[in-house]
Amino acid sequence: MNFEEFKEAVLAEPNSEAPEIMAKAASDPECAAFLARVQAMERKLSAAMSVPVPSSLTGEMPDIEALAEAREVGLMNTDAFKEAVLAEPHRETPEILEKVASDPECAAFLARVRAMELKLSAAMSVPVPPSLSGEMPDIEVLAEAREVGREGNVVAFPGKPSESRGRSTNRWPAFASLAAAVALVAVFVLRPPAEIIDPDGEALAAEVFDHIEHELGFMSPASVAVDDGMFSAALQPAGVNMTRNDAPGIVSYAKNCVIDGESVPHLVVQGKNGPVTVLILPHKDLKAPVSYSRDGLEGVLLPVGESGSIAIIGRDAASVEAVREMADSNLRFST
Amino acid sequence: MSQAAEADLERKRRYDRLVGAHRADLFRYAYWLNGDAALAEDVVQDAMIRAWRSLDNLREDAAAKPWLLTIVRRENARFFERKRHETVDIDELVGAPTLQISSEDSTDQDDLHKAIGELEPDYREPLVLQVVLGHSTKEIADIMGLTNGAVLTRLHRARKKLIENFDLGEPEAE
Repeated sequence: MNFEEFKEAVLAEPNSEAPEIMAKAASDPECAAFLARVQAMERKLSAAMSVPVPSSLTGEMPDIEALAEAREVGLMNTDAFKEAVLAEPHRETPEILEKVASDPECAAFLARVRAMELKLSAAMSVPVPPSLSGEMPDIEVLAEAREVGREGNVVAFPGKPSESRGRSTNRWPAFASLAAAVALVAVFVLRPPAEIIDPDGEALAAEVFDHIEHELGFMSPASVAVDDGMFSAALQPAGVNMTRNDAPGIVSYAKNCVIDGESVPHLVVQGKNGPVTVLILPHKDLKAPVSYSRDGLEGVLLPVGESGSIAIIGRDAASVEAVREMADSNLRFST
Repeated sequence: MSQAAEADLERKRRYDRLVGAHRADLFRYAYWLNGDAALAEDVVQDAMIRAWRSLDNLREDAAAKPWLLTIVRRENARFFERKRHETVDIDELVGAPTLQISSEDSTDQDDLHKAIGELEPDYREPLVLQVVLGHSTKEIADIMGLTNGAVLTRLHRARKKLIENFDLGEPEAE
């Protein structure tokens, strides 16, 4: 073995005690010095590469099945939880539900973000101008009119009142203020279906569908209920007293809305066949139940008490029917 | 009635059904894209005409909403290219009485409205698609031409900024 072969072998395996290595180091001082330097470097290398081992991987071995289960549901740390909730406040994965159940701080965070979501939704729901609501215009007439008047101004659709333009003018009336709480004196119970057809029922149904169309995002599967404060805040302005236990399922969304100038509790209830929107309409009388469908939504309006009604709207008839059945058998509003 | 006239009538009925159902959403989307109610109305009217002219390209009625939103998005971009409009000052928005939702909490509402308006458009757009129009992350990704991950990041940052910029009674988000 010459010196070059010796160095190559030592650099590959510094701690080797092969006979050729040991004999060469014993007979050649230069080789002995090289071996000593490489072995000293090796000790430093070993110290530098020794990172501390976390406590979860030292000491007693854990129960491997318990560890597997914990890893299955416990992968989400608090930062990841907050990030997920801020991106999709109404999404409920097993990881999120586990985190909510096991960490009060995260549960409170979720409740606060969902409360913020209500404010966000209200702030983003801008009123739609008359030219884009009501009857559809004749599109060819509109196209022609816009071609003629292409100065950047909106054309008043034929048959619609023309409006003044400009951002600083009050082009649409502000939404009506919340109605004062109404003291209802009756105990609401569902009235039996009547045989007569209510000509106003469809108009009311259309109004209800118009209202919920911009809050459909809340009608998604959820298993976390709103808290008592939020629930009461949704009902009290309408003068309706009702507990969460009266609702036909978990109430995952509760807000007070205004429809036609009247205060209306707007709930999302998790029924056995899926989430539905329930609007309690203490001021809207119906002569008979009304079924209504539009834009992939199914709904039913039911007379309640002496002069009120409720609307139940879902993405399919089965989800509506499930909540309607529970409402038929359980619903009692006391005021 | 001739066959051509019947076909034309059917085409109009289809258009009225599909576009009529989504006009309010189109307006709200356009409003939060450009921050100006009058301009949003303009954009939606032009988008409706464009949708009418290209209706035959829409094969599935079920895809009408994202199709219309894409038209509004492009029309909005065209409008700015054409007119070289500048984004309206957010202070003008806040003062506009049309933006009030209810007289109760109007100050709170206005402040939040302003905070939303101050978000970068890249953050505001997915927020309106999610909060107001109820779209899933995947649908938003398709409409905006982004990945799911990019949409989630923008939504998370949008809300985080709102919490930072608007007093929602919220402690630190992270």
